[in-house]
Amino acid sequence: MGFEFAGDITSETEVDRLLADLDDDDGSSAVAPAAGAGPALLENMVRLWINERAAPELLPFQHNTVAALRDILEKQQDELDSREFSTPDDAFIKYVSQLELERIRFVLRSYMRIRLRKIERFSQYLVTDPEQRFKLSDAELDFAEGFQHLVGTYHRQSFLDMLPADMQALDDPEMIGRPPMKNAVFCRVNQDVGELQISPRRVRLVAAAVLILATPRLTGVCSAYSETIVMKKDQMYLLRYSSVRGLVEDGTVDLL
Amino acid sequence: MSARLLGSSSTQQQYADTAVKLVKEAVRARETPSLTAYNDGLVRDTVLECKHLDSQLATLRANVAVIQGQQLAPAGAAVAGRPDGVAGDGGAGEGASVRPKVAATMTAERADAAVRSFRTAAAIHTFALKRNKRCVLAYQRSRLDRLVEMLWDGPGGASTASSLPDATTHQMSIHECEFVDGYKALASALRGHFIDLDLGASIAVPPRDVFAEIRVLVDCGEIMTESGPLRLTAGSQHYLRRSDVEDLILSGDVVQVG
Repeated sequence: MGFEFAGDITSETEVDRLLADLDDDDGSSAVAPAAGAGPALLENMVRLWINERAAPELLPFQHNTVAALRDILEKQQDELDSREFSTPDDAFIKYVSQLELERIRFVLRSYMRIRLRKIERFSQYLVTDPEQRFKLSDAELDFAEGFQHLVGTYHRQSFLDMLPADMQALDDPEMIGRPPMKNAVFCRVNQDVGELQISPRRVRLVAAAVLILATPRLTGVCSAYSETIVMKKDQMYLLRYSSVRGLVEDGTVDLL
Repeated sequence: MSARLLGSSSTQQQYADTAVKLVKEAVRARETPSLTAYNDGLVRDTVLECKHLDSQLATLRANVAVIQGQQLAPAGAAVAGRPDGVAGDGGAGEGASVRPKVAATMTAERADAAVRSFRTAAAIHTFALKRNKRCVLAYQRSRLDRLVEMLWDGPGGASTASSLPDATTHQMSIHECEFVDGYKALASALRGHFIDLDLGASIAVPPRDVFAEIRVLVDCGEIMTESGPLRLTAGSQHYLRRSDVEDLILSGDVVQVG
């Protein structure tokens, strides 16, 4: 195929436009749910996916977006399968549509798999901390508990059972793996935040990053002595994750 | 961390050396393409060392308890002795009352020193125990993580249908086999919630093509494609939907051409 659709997974409009054309052709509107909400939904999903990929901790499961997108995917797939595509033009439209669906599925699949990897890594922390449990979907919670049980059984049977009784615990606080919240992350500001309080140690990290990566787009400049930075729309920063954590969750800052 | 501190271990080895070997093995294993054999010997050695450390620790604690018991008894005697001295405060009794006091404080100092050294030894033993435990757990967990990764990347993508290569299964311990079986069931259950997304499929690169030109290397029997069933015989070439033959490509029974 001479067409390069691969480079731009966020070009949500392609399939929708083509499918919309199809609808116009024969006057039906079976794919109505996709027409308006679809593109924005997909854009949002890609944003959430990138955030999840960049964040050191597990972010709350985006139930609504995932469910709505899966719904649309299913409808469009049915639509595609039930239609007759006889002319070469139609066949091409079918091909493009199918590829676009596969690529949207890829985003969702990757999102789920990235979450699974984090869930496995921090399963004990996620399962035992009541605040963390809310971040998991029901299916994920079942998985995390099952996984935790499997790992515990394995450790006990192959090692811990042979140790003295007071050494067999697996739940000492120091043994529970926690996400590295102090990791540095790149982030972009979506809307003016104003001043963000960060501790001096974090400021030094930012200052160093600004020096090293003094590109025109990385506009976050601050003195090594200040403890706040002023975040404006479209600025990019390299900060410790812990200082932008809240902003990531409410969507004012996106990770990169 | 010297084992010679109490002259307990036979060699020049230090406590936790065996366990550190396991950690080094885990680090090395990251570079190797296949799983290395489960090192049951080293794990057992570490367990033995832990038991030894634990018994030493019990002895140390007993010693401390004995000394503290002795210390309490004379102290009680000295206190009891004093009112006698005070009662006989004529002046002649003064020398007699001082002497037991000095003796009592001297033994107390010596006892304190003994207790301190025993406590230090106990602390070292406790740290060695914790370190051993941590090392073995890290070794085992690194193997589990590796197995999980292999399951997802292999054909079948971590489901009850997926299988690990023989080279891997031969290196696993019994408990690791049980873990893998449990994990397959767990992952299958999870994948069941997301059949439409096919979680087991590759997430390495975004799909660039819906279809793939493939050549069949080994007879695969009949597979279901969107346009009906298709028999894959060795040597034949087909143009199929990629998702229909993804597993066969991963298992190597089919290669992608072009």
